[in-house]
Amino acid sequence: MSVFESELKKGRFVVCQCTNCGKITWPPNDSCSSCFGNVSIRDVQNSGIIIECSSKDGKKFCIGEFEGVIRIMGTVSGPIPNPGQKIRIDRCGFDKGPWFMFSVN
Amino acid sequence: MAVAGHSTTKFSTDDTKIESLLFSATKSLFKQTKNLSQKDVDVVLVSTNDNQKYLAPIISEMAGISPKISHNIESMCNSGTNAVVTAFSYISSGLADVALVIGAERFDSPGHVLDWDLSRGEFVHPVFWASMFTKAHRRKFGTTEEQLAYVSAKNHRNALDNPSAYDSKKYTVEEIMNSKKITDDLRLLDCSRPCTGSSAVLLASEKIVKKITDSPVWIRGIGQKTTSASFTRGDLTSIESTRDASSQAYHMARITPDQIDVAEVHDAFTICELMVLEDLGFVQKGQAGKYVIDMYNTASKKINPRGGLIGSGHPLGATGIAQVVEITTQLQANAAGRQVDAAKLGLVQNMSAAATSSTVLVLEA
Repeated sequence: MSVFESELKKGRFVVCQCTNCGKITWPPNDSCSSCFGNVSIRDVQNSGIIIECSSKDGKKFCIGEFEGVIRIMGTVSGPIPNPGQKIRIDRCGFDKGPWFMFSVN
Repeated sequence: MAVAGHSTTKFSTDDTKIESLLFSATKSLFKQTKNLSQKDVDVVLVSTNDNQKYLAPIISEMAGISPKISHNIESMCNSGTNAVVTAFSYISSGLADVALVIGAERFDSPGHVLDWDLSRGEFVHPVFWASMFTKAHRRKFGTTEEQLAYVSAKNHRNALDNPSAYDSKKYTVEEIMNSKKITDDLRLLDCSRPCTGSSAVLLASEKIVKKITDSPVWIRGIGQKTTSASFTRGDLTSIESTRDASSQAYHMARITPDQIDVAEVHDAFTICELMVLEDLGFVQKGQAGKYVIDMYNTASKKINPRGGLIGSGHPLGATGIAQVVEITTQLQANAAGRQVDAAKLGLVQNMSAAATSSTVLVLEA
């Protein structure tokens, strides 16, 4: 299990940022995808926007974007939001795979 | 370089071993390609997402071929066309003169789940990314549920003339629009179906091809592009990988998209056909819905004459090869009831994993 996955399992959503060029590597990796520099782990800033949203059997799912580059799919509570609306991550975890729960700000 | 032989087995949901599927397509190709013998084959490539190992050497042995080069190629839904491009490369480099490319998949393939991608969270099934594409396209261009349904109606109708199609059945637009809702944006009949099937093509160099067939179909253009593996980038209303790959293929073939007579495109979901037609440059962005309705109303078979993935079924590793087989058959004027009149220039577009990777081929009679 990677650091990303083990942190997610604890409910902490982290991102890898290059210690050399400062770029965020997403999806997470042990090395910077831009300059192959070392990366450090930090919490993702918990303020994002909706990119798109749909639903299945009443369960709403969407693509959320954080820090301008980190896109993840998760469920969202409340009415179906529109692109550009601000969201935050309420909960996240890792069972068989990662999962995220958003709410509209 | 040209396509010198081909075969496609009947698609189904049969519980058939992957080796048997691959062998069936190989045997059929040899039976249909009279001047071909096993010793002619320099390369054997197998396209599949199956977990079985060492399939290319296994099939070579089963078919009595001792190739110089044999290996598998896996690239999700795009495996088949990736394998054709690899075969092309072996021949154009001079390492080989004749390459056999065989693709197969079982209905329960592990390739149906996109579980490597952390960015998808718990939404690992393709219907979720397709719903995102659909919603975004509808929002930006006003694409309607009816326009999406016409894609499915057209392709199911075309598949009625395809003897290899899995369970072909004609559906009305109304039946499609009333089919089971899978997500807010897609219904059951908007989706292609996983199935069991296999297909094969033989590529040969210019110096050899006339010894094998009197009706070669020439590969004039190739383009490939991978933008990412994860569903993390780009505009959800446009397929960057297809735009880039088609630009490369048109440039290599020295053609423009309006010259294409017939095309097989990757309609894993109805929205995919609309987006691909726009990103291939066949129509302006946002106009593919109307274009498909016109094709339906005029009984045009220009796009997906065999029924595409929606009409024929989608055995992942075989799909790209079956697309090449269809365009070859069309350009050889052997497509019977689904024949496009006077087809001289054809196109294949295939893609994988939420369109993160695309291949475009241009073929000429």
